[in-house]
Amino acid sequence: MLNLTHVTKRYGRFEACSDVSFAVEDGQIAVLLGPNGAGKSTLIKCISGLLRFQGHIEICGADNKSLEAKRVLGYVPEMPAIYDMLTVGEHLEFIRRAYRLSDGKEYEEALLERFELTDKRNKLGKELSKGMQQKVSICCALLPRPKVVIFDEPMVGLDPHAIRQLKDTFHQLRQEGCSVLISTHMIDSVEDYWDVCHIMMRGQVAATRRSGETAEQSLEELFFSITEGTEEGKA
Amino acid sequence: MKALWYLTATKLKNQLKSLIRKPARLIYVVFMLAMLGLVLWSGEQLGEIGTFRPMEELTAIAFAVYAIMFLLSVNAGFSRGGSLFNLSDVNLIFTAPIRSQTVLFHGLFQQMTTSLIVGFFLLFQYGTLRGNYGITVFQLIGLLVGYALSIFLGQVTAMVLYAMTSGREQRKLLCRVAIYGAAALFLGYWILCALREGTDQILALGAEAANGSVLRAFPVAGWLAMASSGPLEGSWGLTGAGLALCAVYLGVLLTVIFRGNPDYYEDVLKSAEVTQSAINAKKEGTMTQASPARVKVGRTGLGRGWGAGVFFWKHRLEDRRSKVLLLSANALIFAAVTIAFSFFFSEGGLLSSFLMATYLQVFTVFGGRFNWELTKPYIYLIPEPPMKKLLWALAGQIPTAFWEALVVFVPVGLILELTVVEIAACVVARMSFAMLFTSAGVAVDRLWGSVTSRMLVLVLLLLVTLGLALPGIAAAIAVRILFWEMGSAAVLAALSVCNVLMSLLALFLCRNMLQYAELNQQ
Repeated sequence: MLNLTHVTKRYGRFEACSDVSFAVEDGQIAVLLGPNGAGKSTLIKCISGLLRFQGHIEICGADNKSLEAKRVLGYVPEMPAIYDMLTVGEHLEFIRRAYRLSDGKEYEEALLERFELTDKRNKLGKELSKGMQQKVSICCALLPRPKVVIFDEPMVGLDPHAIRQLKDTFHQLRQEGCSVLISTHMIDSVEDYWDVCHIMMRGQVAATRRSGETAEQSLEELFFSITEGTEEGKA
Repeated sequence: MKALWYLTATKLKNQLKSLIRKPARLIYVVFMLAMLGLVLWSGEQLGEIGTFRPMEELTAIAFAVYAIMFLLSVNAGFSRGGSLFNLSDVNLIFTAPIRSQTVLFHGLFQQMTTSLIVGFFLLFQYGTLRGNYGITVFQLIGLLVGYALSIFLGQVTAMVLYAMTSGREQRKLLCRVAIYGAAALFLGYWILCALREGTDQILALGAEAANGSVLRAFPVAGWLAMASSGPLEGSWGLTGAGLALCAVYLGVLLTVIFRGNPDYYEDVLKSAEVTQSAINAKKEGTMTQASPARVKVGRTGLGRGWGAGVFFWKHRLEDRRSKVLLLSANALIFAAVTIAFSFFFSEGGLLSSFLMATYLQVFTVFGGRFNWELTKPYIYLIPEPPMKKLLWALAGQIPTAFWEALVVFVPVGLILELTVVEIAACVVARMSFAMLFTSAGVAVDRLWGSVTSRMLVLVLLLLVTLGLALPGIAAAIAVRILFWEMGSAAVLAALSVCNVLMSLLALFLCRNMLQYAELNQQ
C-alpha cells in the first residue's frame, strides 16, 4: 500500500506540489492525470525517494526513504534509466545482484521474453532505441517483484505490442495485490483498467474519482471537465 | 538577410537579459572575468622580471595546437559533417525563403563566434606564457584568433568533406588516407628534424623545424602559425601571407560548396541532429557519458558484487568498455598535455608541472563515473545503506586514479629527473587530489543537491574544492619553509595526508548523501 500525507515540494519559492494526500490500496491501479507542469513527475519522484519534500510518504507501512520501503518499491522513470556501457542482460544482472535476488534468474528470463528482449540480451544500452530502453527500464523495475510500482509516462516510445504487454503487466500486478500508480498524458491508454484517478492541477489534487462513480462520463471527458473548470473537484 | 540579423541580435540580447534573470549565471560570468583580470594582472607582474625563452618555441607550440584542433574538426567531417548549424536553424531558417548562400554566411558567422568562445580558456594561460615568453595581451589575443580560425576552417573543411564522402565509402577511405597520410608525413618530418642531433637539441631543433618552410606548408595550421609570426615576432609580412593563404583556402571551400552542391542543407543535418539530441538528453536528464563510437563488448556479465558492492564491479565493467588502453581518451589527452607541458617548461620544475597536472585532473575527476551514477535513479533506489553505496560507488575510481597518476607522473618524473621517491609521492598526491575533488562533488550534492543552475553548482564546486584543498596547501607551504632540506617528497606527503583527511571528513559528514540528496539530472 502507498500512502501520501500532506506532501509538499518546493523549489525555492515555487511550490511544485502542494499538500497532496492520497492512498493507493493493495491490488489497486491509480492513475495520476494532469496537464503539463501540474506536478505529476515531481510527486512521483518524491514517492520514489529521489526528491526531498515535506509531509509523509509510506510504502507498505514504512517511510519511503527507509530500506524496507526501497525493497518493495519499483519505479519506472519517464526517461529510460539505462547505462550506455551495459548490455540488456547485464542491466538485469545488476538489479538482481543489487537487490540480492538469489532466485531471480527465472523471472528475469520471463520478463525478457514478455517484452521481446531475449534476442537483445547482448546489445549495449546505447545501441537500443528509446522504446527498447524503456522496456529494459520496465524490466529492471519489475525484477525485484515490488509490492508498490510507480510508472511515470510508461508508454511513451513503446510500440503497440509493447503497450499491450505493459497493460497485461498492469493487470497481473493488480491480481498479485500490488499497488500501482501510473502517471500519464495518454488518457485513452488507461481508460479500461483504472480503479482510482487523481487529477492534478497546479501542484494540487484537483479531483479524485473512483471507477464506476463516473459511468456516464469517460475519463477523458472527466479530465477536460476538471482541467477546463466546468466541474468542481470532489477530492 | 534582415531576418538573420534580427535573429542574431535577438539571441545576443536574450543572452544578456538572461544574465539579469539568472543571477547565478551573472555571478559565474563576473567570477570568470574577475579570475581573468587576476590572471592578466599577475601575468603583468611576472613579466617584469627574468629572461624569456625563444619566441620560435611558442610559434611551434601554436602550430601544434592549431594542427590538433584543425585535424579534430576535420575528423568529425567524415562522420557527421560540420556543426555550423543547429536544429533550430535547420527547421526554421532552411525552410524559410532565404538564399542558401546567405544562410551559409550566417552559419559561418555563428561558427566563428563559437570558435572564439571555445578559445576563451587560452586567455587563462597568460601567466605561464608571459612568464616564459614575455608575451603581451595583444600577442595572446593574436594566438586566440589563430586558435579560433583553426577550428573555424576545420569546421568548413568538415562540411566539404562530408558533402564529398557521405555515403561513398571508398571515397571516404581515400580522403582519410590522404589526410592522415599527409599529417603523418609532416609529423614524421618534424620528429626527424627534432631528433637530428639526438635528444640534446630536441627542443631547439623542433622549434626551428616548426618555423621552417616545410611545416609552414601544412594546410591551415602551418599558415596560421605563419600568421602568428606578426604579433609574436614582428614579421607582419608573414602574417599577411598566412592570412591570405587561409582566405584563399576558405574561398576555395566555399566555391566547392556552392558549385559542387548548392543544396548543402543535407550535409549539415546529421551534425545538427547529433548536437540537438545531446542538448535534449541533457535537458531530459539522460546525459550520456562520452564513450567511444564503437565499443567492443567482449566478455559479458558483471560476475561479481552483491548489494552495494555491485556498483564497484559495474564501474569496472563500464571502464573496461569505454577505455582506450588503460585510460579514457580524455584522460590520455590530458596526460599527453601534462607531459608535453613538463617537457617544454621543465625549468618550472616539479611545482609548475604538478599544478598543470592537478588543473587538468579536475576535468577527468568531475567527469568521472561516480558523477554520472548520480544522474541515474538506481543508486538512490537500491535498498542498501547510503554510506555503503557511496563508498562502493566511489571505490571504482581508485584503480582509474592510480593508473592515471602513473601514466602522468612516470614520464613527467623522467623528464624532470625526479627520484623514485619523488615520483611515488607525486602519484600519491595526485590520488589524494582525485579523492579531494570527488569529496567536494559529494559535499556539493549533499548540501545543494536541489540547485538546478549549472553555473551556480560550478561556482559552489570551485569554492568547496578550494576550501577542502586549503589545509593541504598550507601544510605543503609550511613543510617547504620549516623542513626545506627534506625536499619535494616531504611537501607532497604533507599535502597528501591533509587532502586524504579532509576528503574523509567531507565524506563522513555527507555519509547520508544518497538518502537526502536529490536526483539532480542537470
